[in-house]
Amino acid sequence: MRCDDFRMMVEEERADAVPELLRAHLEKCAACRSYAEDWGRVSEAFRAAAADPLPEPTFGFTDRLLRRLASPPGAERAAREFVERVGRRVAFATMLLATLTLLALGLPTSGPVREPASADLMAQADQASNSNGIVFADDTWVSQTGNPHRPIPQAGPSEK
Amino acid sequence: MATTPNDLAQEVEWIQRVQAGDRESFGRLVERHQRRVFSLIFHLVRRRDEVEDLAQEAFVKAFLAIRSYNFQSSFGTWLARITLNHCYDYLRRERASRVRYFWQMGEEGRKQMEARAERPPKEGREGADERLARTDLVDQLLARAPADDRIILTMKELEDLSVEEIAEILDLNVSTVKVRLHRARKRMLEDWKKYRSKGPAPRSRK
Ligand SMILES: [Zn+2]
Repeated sequence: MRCDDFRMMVEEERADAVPELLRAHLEKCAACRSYAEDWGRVSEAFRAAAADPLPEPTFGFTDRLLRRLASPPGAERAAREFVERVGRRVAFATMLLATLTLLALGLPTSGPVREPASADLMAQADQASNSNGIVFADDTWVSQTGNPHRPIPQAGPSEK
Repeated sequence: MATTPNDLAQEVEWIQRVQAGDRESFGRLVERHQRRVFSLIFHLVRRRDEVEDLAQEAFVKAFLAIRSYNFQSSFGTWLARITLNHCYDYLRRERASRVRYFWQMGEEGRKQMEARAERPPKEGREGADERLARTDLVDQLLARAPADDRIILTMKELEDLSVEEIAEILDLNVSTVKVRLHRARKRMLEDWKKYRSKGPAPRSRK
């Protein structure tokens, strides 16, 4: 048997059930021993990665898919590009706003400054999200859609 | 996944309805198989933010091709094949702009990689940190592997499929899968070794 055959055995066998033949080879072959050691570390890493929690479909996944299947291909592509460009922007803006709000609410401030500051921020957020359904509308999203030079479609978000 | 004979019969009915033009029945199929599709995509591309988009696209492809499904293999296998092909295209596009092997990485990249792979567990949080380092190592190893290797390694080491199942999905015979798997593992370990010997001074390990 060649080293390569032993290495294949190394990959297939569990560490606690090494056959005698392989054990004898590993004792005298440093290269295969090193291979076995590396494989042990890498396969352990794969086992850990396999135990990672899986991402779940977000709410409405199937409905979105069915709507997509119902639309003609051209419209579908345009809609997708729109969602890709805009969706991430909105998600980012929402996250940013949430962080700012949390900071505003949570930062220890001296005296009465804290109340109005967070209230202002909340009011701003309300106004922004009520005006067109998109948070952070004031200085990012609206001004960009209003600008004809931006390569973003003019249609509003079809789903929210 | 279809398991009982009843489930299977129901699935066949849904498939036939979709083939006859009933889009809504496709939703039933999606709901039954989405977990498996998400798992396969996540393990293949290793990017959470891409999984849902890729899953949508894979299901669209499956829908458009469903008239060609002839019940020879299970629907799950057929769907896995479509998903795999879609991810394969994605990976090839994605990696066209990246370095392939560790030894092609710049000094900085190698240092980062080594720091990740060799990151010692912190006291008290051993489990989480160690696991993160290992998962990171897998990401790096797979990112550097050629797309074909990555696919077969993912199916075996992350999806935990048997060589028989892999053979069915890839439409290869079992011995070919075994040979390809061994080659992919060997290349991966060689690449890792090459990286470690070329990288900054090796640290002492247990
Ligand atoms: Zn040997």
